[in-house]
Amino acid sequence: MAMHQINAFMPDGPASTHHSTIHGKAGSEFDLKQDYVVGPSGSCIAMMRNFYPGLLQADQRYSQVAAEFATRIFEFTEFINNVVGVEKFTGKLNAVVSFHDSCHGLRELGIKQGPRNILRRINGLKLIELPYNEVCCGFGGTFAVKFPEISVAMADEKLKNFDQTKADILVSTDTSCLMHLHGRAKRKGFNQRFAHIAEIMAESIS
Amino acid sequence: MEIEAKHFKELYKKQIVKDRLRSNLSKATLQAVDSREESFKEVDFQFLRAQAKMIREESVSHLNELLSEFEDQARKNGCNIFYAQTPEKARAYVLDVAVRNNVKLIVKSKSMVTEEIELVPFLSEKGIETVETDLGEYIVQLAKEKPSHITTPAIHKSRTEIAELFHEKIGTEMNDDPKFLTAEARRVLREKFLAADMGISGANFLIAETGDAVIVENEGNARLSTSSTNVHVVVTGIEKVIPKFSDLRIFMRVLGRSSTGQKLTSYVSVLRGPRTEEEKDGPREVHIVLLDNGRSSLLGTDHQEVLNCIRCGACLNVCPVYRNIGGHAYGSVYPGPIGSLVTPMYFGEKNAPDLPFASSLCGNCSEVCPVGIEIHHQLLSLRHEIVAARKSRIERFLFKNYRKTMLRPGRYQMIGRFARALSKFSVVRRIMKPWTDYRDIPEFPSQSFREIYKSGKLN
Ligand code: SF4
Repeated sequence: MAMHQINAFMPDGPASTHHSTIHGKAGSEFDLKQDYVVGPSGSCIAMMRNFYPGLLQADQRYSQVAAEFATRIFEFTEFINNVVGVEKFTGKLNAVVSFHDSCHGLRELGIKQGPRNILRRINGLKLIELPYNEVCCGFGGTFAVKFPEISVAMADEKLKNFDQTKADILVSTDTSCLMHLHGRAKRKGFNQRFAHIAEIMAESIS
Repeated sequence: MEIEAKHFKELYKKQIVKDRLRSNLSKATLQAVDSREESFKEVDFQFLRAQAKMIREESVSHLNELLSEFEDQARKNGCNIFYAQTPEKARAYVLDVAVRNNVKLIVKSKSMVTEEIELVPFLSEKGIETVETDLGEYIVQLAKEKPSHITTPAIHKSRTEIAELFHEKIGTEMNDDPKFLTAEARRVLREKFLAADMGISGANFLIAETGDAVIVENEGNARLSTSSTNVHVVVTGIEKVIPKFSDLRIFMRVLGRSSTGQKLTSYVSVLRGPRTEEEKDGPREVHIVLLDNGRSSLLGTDHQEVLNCIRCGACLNVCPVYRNIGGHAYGSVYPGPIGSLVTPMYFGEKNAPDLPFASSLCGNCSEVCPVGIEIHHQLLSLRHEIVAARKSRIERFLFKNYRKTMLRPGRYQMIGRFARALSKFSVVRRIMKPWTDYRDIPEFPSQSFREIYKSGKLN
């Protein structure tokens, strides 16, 4: 970040994604006055960008704030591609990776090429696409614990497809998909690595 | 009316362990997904979908006017129209028609609404045999099962399972060639068509302008069911009406592609009343039963768009939940994403309290829906309603505390520190059983990102 004259700032509060919480105080994230707010997960950003404005529509105090805020928040790879400029980044890492499109990144935010553009700028990195890469991994928030058997059956399909690619690392933009897939993979004895795209970028420049 | 969907949690657990079922489903649904995608390459899906959505929205928001226009036209064409508020009333009407005409044998083509009102078991209880003539429905009927998909009722069965079933029930030789099996079914069904005294079908569209019932199919059985007997009854939902005959040009392009990846289905039949003086065949008496069963109560609500559905089945095929548990797990005639919406809406939330939650909200359904229903957003809003109405004590407690925590950065950070420390203890792990029974939990770092960030070590 420092390289590109961006001052990073870590807020104290968490981002809230629950309805009543937003109404309660409209999330402390609204108090952030920075030009950009960046998050490492498509679902959280989708919640704040796509759903806050609707949920707070009737709220005089916050409806405008939410709409304005929605223009300043970015998912990490969106930020790199559309604000920083992906051409400013190059890295080097010898690795064979596969990429998992997270559903909310893909369908709520329309993130598809951005992360791939980033990965392509890492010398030595080979990307092998997953078969059926737009199918959900089965995390789904409370779904993962409400219907765990279904959730892991979906993870197993994903892991089977990942295994077929023979890649060493499954990269994604969403920490929750990764936690779910990695947890299941470990339980099933897979020993590939699961990593957030930011980790891969960091390694490629260090 | 009580339905099995109430017991979804037990039902899906029974289905998900059936490896053969899952592999049948996986093969069939993924093939449908691929064919669908391929077939939309040569047309502009987004354009067609916008048109289809517009027409359906228009239809549903003018449902009353369109229905009365349809009714007038269909009456002019010589049809009898019956509005059934409830499944009971619809069934009683059909039975009455059958009894008045001294009917012993009915040939029936596919109609999800007849499943919804459980018409066939009702008629057979009254001593009237009803034979399903759609191949998939016929298979399911032979197996004494229920359809597990809205367009491909026997999708849960493999070729071999079907061959075994035919061998056992109708004495065919063991041969799992689909051509052979289809010919065998056809042989048996032809006899039934010749002997039947009444036909029942559904309708994909009702045309207000002309009073027509339009039926889309691939096997020709619906055309035969609507024309080979003297009495015909169409059983469908009130929401099926569209304004103009010319509107079909849009739906014909999206329906076949969405269902099976076909540019056009093999048969499109237009039923315009009983036979006229000059016509040599066709029924002498036509009845159209229009079921409400909760549909009109959605008008003017946030859920109205659910009525736009044209029952193409695409949302089921792409759904990874459906693919892993199959249609029977839902305990409803309408399974999959659209089923998780309409089941609680038509049969009451108490009958299907879990279905709106049985989704990872991945949104693949909304992405493929040819009439642009925001299916996963609808599921989410249904969840809001259900939770607001009957939040369990524990859930309320958890969310109250979650809320407090999320509003106070200090408390949030403290809990984070606690959780990291406590995660080593087995009591804590026990609370996380629904997670840890199936997956490992990540090793919690001793320091949070925030702590590392604050310590300045990052720079
Ligand atoms: S909701 Fe949409 S995709 Fe699903 S069956 Fe209806 S029309 Fe097809």
